[in-house]
Amino acid sequence: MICQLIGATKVYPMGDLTVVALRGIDVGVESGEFTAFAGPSGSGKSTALNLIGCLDRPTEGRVMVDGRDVATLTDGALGELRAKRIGFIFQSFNLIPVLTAAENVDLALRLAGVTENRAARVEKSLVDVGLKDLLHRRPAQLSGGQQQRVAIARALVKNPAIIIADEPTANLDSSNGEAILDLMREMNERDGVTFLFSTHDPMVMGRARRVVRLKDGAIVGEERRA
Amino acid sequence: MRNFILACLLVLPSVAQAVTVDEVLAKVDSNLTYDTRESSLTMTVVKSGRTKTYKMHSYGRGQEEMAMEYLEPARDKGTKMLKKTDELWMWLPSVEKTQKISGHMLRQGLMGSDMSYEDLMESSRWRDMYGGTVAGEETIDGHKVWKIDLTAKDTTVSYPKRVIWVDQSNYIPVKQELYALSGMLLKSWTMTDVRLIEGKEFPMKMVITDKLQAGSTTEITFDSVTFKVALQDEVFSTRWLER
Amino acid sequence: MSLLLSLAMRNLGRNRRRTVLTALTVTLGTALLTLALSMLNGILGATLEKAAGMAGHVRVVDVDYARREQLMPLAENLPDVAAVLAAVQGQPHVLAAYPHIAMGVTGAREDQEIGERFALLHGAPEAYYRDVLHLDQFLASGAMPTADDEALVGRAFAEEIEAKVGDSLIVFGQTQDGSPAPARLKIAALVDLGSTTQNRQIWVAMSKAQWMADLDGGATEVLIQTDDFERAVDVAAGLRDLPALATYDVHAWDERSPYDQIGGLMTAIQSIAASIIVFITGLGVLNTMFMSVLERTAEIGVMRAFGLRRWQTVLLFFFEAFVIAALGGAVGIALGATGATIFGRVGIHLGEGASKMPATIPINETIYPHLTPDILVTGFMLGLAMAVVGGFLPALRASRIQPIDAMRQHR
Repeated sequence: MICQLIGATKVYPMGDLTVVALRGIDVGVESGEFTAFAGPSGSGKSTALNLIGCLDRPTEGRVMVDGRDVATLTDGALGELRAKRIGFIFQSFNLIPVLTAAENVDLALRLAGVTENRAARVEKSLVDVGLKDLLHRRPAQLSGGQQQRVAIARALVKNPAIIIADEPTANLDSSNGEAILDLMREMNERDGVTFLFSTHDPMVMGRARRVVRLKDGAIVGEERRA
Repeated sequence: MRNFILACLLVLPSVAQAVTVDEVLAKVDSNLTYDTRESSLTMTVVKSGRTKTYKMHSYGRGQEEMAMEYLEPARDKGTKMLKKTDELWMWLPSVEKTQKISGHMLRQGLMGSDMSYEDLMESSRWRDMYGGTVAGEETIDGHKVWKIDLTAKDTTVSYPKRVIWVDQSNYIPVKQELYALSGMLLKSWTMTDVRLIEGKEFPMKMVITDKLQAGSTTEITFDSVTFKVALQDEVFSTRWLER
Repeated sequence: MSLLLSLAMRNLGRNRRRTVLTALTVTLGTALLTLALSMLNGILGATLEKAAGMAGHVRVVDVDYARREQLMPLAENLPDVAAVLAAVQGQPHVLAAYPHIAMGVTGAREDQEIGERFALLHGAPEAYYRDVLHLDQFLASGAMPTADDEALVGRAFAEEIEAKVGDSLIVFGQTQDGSPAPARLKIAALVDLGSTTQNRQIWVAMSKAQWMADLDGGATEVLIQTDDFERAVDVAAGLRDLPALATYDVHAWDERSPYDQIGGLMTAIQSIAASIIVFITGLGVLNTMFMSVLERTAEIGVMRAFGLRRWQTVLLFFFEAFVIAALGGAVGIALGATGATIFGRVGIHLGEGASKMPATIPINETIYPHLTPDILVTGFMLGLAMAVVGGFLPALRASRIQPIDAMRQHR
C-alpha cells in the first residue's frame, strides 16, 4: 500500500465550536489507483486527502505513507516528503500569477530541489497536457481549462508517487472538466501515478475506478469498477 | 582680720581685671582714631609666586577722609585713591580718567593685595559694629593679650565673626582672624612693631594673609607716620585726584 | 536564493500602484532624512569648525588655568610661551600656534564715565585674527588695525557704548596681580560675527594685551591650529608627550567643556530624528506589505505545499520590502540631496533667537545645510532599515501560513 489512514480522527476548533471532520476512519490506497473520495460538503473528504497529502496531521490515529508513519517525521522531513513524492492540484488552480506557465511548472521542480534538466522536463510536462504553444503565457492570459492543465503539469513534472486533487473540476465547465479528467486518467495509466480526488461531482465519480463514500466524517460505502 | 584683708587684696585685682569687651573695643578704636595723619608706606604683595612692591604716600583726616598716591612701581606711579565717607574713587593716570569703585569691586584687593577696599573703608568702629565675649588670656611675643570672640551686630558686614587678640599693655589688636558667617576662616591680620607716636600707640607693620588661597600675603610697612599735620581741604577732593 | 530574488522582483509588478506608493513612502522618508541630517550637519559642522577655531583645535595652558578657566585667571599664565611655541611648531598636523590672552574688561567711550558695559578682550598675533578667526571677512565697517593702540570692536558692544569707527574708548581690566589695567584704544573697525554675544568682544594687539595684563612677553594660552579639527584629539595626545609640554594641560577643543558634551548631544539628536523618520516610514511599508501577505495567502500556501520552506517565505517578503526600499531610497536621496544643495546655497532663516546662544556655541541666524557623502550613505542605509522595520512582521506572518491554508481559503 502506498498510503493508508488507520483510525484517523481530525478535530479542529472553529470559533467557539469544535468541528469533528473525521471520526476514526480506516482506508488504504494501492499504488496506481485512480480513486475518488466522494461526499457532500462537510463530509470529511478534503480532510482525509489533506492527511494523506501530509498537509495536516491527525488528531488521533495514524497516517502511513510509503510504509512510514508520518507522525515520526519532523516538519522538515515532512516537507521534503511532500516536495518529492506528492503533487497537488487545487480547485482554484492556484498558479502564481506573476509567473508564466513554464515558470510555474519550473517552480515546482526548483522547490523540490531539482537542478538538472529542468527546462526539458518542464517542456515535456506542458506538451503532455497539450499546452505546447502556451509556455510563455501568464495565467491571466489562459482560460480556466488551460490553467488547470498547467496545474496538472506542475503537479506531474516532478514525477510524484501520489497526486492529490481537491475538486479539480469545480471551476470548469463540463466539457473542460471531462477533458481534464481524461488527461489525468491518461497520466495515471501511462505512468502509474496514483491519483486521489476529493469530489462531489458525479462526472468525476463516474470516471474513477474506485469511489470511497464519506458522510459526516465516516466512510459509508465503497465501489470499485474497471 | 589681717588674713581677711590679705584675702580681699588678693581678690580685688582679679576683679579689677575683669574688663568688658566694650571697654577694650573702645580703647582699640581710639588708638586708630586721629584728627589728621600723613604717612609713607610700603606694601609688598606676594601671590602665586610673584612679589610686587608698592610705595605710597597717604593723608588721612578723621575717619571719613583719606587720600593716597602711588609712587612706585613705575607702572602704577601717579595712581591716586580718594575716600570720602562711603565713597571711593581711583584716578588712573595712563588714561587720565577717574574710576568710581563701588559694588562688588569693593571686595577686591587694593592693587590686588589681600587688603580689600572694603577693609580700608571700615573705619575703626568696632565698638559699634561688634559685640562679644572675652574668651581668655594668652601670651604673644612676650605680651599678655586678651582673646576676644566678636560677632557683628549686622551680619551683612564683610567679617561677621572676628577673633581678636588684644595686647593688654597697648590695646593694639596684635592678631586677628576674620571669618565668614559660615565660620570659614577668610583672613588673618597681624599688627606688630608698635611705637608710641605723639601719644598714640601705632603698629608700624601689618601682615594680612588670605586664608583661602595658599601663598597669598600682603605686608604693609609704614616708613613714616606724622599726626596733627595741617592739611588742606583740597587734598580730599576730586580736584586733587585729577591734578 | 536567486529563485527568491527573481520571485520577489516579479511580485513587485503584481500591483503596480501599491508598489509605487510604497516606494514613494520610502522616497519621502529618505528625502526628509537626507535633508534633516544635512541641516543638522550644517548647524553642527560650520558651527563646530568655527568654535574649534576660536577655542583652539588644541590648547596648551597652565594646569591651574584649566582648573579655574571660568575666571580666566591671568595669574596662572604660561611661564615660558616661547618654549611651548618652539616645541609645537613643525609637529605633525600642526599648521600654526598662537599665543593668546583673554580677559574681561569694562569699557566706555573716552568722553564718558568708565562704564559698566562688559566685553571680552582678546590679545593675539594679527595672524590669528586673520587666518583663524577670519575677522577681516566680518568687518561691518572700518579696516583692520595698523597700530598697536587700535582695536577691532564687536558691533553689539560698540552699539552699547555708542561708539563708532574712529572713536577712542577706555577699557578697564586687571593685571595678573589684580592691580588696575586701564587702556585707551582707537576703534579701527567694527566686527559682526552674527550673534549678539559674539559681538561683545574686543580684539587688540598682543603687545597691548600683554601690557594690560602685565605679562611680559607671556600669554595665558597657546592655541594650536591643526589640519583637521575633527581629529584634534589625536594631535593633542601626541603633543602631550613632548617634554616641553609635560607640565601643562594639553587638550583638544572637543575634550573641553562645553564641546565635550555637544558632540554626544548632536549625535543623540541626529539619532532621534533618524529613528523617528525610519519608524514612521517603516510603518508605511509594513502596512502595504501586510496587505500583500493577506492577499496571497492561498498562493503562499500552494508554494508551501510544493516545498517552500518557512525561512524561504520570510526571505521572499523581505526581499520584496528590500527592493522597494532600495529603489525608493535611491530616488529619495537624490531628492534630498537636491534639496540640501539648493538650501545649502540659499540658506534657511532661523530668526533672532538663534543668535542669543552663548558665545561658545556660535549659531547664526541663517542655517546652511551641508551635505556630505556619508549623509548620503547613511540616508540610503536607513532607507534599507525602513525595509527591515516594515518588512519584518509581514514576512514573519507570511511564514506562518500553512499549506493547508491554501485549501481552506476556498471553502
